[in-house]
Amino acid sequence: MHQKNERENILSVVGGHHIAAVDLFVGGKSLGELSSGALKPPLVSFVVICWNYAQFVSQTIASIKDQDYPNFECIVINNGSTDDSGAVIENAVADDKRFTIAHLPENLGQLGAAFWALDRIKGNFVVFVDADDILFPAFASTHLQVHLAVPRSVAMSTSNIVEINAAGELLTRRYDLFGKDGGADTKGLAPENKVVRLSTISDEQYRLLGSQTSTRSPYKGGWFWAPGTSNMFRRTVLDMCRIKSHSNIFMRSSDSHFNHLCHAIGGTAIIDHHLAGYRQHGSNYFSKTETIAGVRQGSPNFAAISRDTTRETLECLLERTAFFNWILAGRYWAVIDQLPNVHPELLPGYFGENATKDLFTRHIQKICDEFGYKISVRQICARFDRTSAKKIFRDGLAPENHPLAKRQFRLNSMKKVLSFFKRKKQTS
Amino acid sequence: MGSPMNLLRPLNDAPLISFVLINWNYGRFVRRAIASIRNQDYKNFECLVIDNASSDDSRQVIQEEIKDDHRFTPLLLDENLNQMGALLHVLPRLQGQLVNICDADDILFENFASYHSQVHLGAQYPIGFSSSGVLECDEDGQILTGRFDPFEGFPRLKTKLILRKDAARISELADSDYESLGDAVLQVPETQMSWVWSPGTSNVYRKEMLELCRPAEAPRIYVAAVDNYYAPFINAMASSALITKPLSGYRFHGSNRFATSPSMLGLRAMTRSGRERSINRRRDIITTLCSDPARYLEVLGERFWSVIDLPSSVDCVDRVESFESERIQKDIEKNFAKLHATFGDDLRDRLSERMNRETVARLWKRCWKILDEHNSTIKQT
Repeated sequence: MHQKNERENILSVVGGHHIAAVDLFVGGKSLGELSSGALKPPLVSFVVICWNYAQFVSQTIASIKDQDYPNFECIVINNGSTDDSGAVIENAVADDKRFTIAHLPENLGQLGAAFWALDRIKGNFVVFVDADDILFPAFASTHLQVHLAVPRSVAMSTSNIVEINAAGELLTRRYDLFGKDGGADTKGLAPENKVVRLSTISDEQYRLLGSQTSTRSPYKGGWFWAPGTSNMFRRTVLDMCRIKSHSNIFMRSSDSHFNHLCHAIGGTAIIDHHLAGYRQHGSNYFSKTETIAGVRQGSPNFAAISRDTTRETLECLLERTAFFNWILAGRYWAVIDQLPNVHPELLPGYFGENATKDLFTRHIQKICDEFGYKISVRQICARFDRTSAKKIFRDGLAPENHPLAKRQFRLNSMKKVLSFFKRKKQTS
Repeated sequence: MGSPMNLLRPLNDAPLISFVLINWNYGRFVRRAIASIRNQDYKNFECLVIDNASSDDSRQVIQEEIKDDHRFTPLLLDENLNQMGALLHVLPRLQGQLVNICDADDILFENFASYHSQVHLGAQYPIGFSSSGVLECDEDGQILTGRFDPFEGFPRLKTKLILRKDAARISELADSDYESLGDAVLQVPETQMSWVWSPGTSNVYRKEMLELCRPAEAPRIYVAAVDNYYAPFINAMASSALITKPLSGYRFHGSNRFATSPSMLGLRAMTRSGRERSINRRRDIITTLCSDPARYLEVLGERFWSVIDLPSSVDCVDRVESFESERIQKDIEKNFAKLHATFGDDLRDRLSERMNRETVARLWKRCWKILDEHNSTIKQT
């Protein structure tokens, strides 16, 4: 904003640090004044999850302290580290009151720690931070500005990264898969004087940001996010993505669960501007090497694990069928096909695996209760071969409901026969 | 400031806005709402603060917050008439040409009234109501989204306000404000058949439109949201304008009856029960049209029949399903004499487009039987 400097002179002291008080603006007028102080800037929650990254985590924490959007809290989770992460974290946080440190006795896994944190954070916008990554100072403000100014609100935003090595040296300028297949995306942000604006983003920067931003509709799947620390989620959507389980340990990356599901729920804003450094240092969970066009990512056993984890994500949807069928407004089955994140031609293979069949067997009663037997039989038959489909209903339904499903199967096959004769008639 | 010739004197010439603040057990929010009305830069308003028989500390809060500001009138009801019930209860006594129904959990920006008032005065064509952007916020007032999702959801024809020198000007708006407001206005044609407005508080209606479209056979305790019924109906009558700038805060919180989550791309923002209620209540438009067909035909002309399809179109419910519902059948049956007097035998064709053949035949027979009996009793007496 052109009056930026005049506005930044209100200072407050938080934990010994001088921080500019933050205000938002609409058409050049202060939101606090417009609303008689009733409306406030949102609180951003950073969740740093650290497992044995003592050598990197202090840089990560420092990069959060340097954010130009001061209205944040940060919870640093020492996820059962066996190195000296704990001491390093305490040291790096020092007396900054915006930070909370949690030392967990055991490693809950990255996703497990993320769920653990969800019960404890207060912000409406959430960023999960890998303890080996570095945020650029404008990370939070840029993501927030995009969330508040996209033409239609979305569940999450993602920005590009630069890849760096253990010493912090630059490897690549961008992540190769970022924003892939963006042909149908909606470009741009809403006009600058009609939206809520952050004081740290000038008119010129806002226009530039608009040209770098696009919105991907939830109907379109695939992996197009940058890895690691590059996303800001809406808290309300993350809350929909919890997995019911007897254990609180989830040994998987948080983005493999949250990205696919949150995007399928409410879409993603893609900011093609690098706002974080992603570190490649040999002990990464996922990658072998920096991304180069044409070189396949992921270690070999990653693909196998990935299938199990997508089933976990799928179960999230099946467990709350009634809820999701309602809010997804007719997209429920499309999302079921989208979450496995495999090529449509490979979907039959995915559904053919025993683990997938077991999954649907466990939840078929909920599906029938929500959709009725006619639609349930039709949808299950569209995804599984007939024998497996029958088995799913037989094993999963309460015995008194078996006849209801059987009837639909019979009607279904009669229809098939009829349509076969019809077609024959037409051709002859 | 513009030329003194067309600048309205704040208290004498500018239209009076009546705020109707309706509260039910929002003691924790209502103070903010009242303050946001008191802080309007627009001076010519009255505000009726209705308490719908709250059981929390609302009444005390309301009295405290109003103090001795004579522009505010508290009205403490002994029973909960609900939102629509409370509005219809006080509608005849409102003085303003413009009316805003404010939810007690929402917040108006200080320029809300002046912008809306200016749009009503400066629009190229007279409009039935104006609707402005909202910021969705949480219980604490923290911003969640920049807009309510269906708002401005369809590409619209841009409309400018009339030239600054020709317009009746609200004195609170500087020349530059007038121009930037002009850039932010979109016209919604009266043929709009889906929801493009912001919710509740963000709408300012012309009072005569609220009266013209007043729901027929409204019960005293009327469980319905005002905007749900009035916005599409008034738009069909007189068109509306969107102000594509946020001018109020819409609070999303756990006890909100309609919302499931902040509005988002591709996500249904309403609860299941909320949607059922809203479909049902929006059919009151059909009831109202049937109750006085001659009058509405005069206003709407040929469009009478497309407006009667408005509820099913806005809610994406099958038209036939809507008309086959028991209550609509009853409405037609009850008002059959009037409908037939207005449309003649054309009525049967019109109904046939909206119902199954057997239903029309049955309805037709039944209605004539009742009508004949009625006529014969009149003759006898």
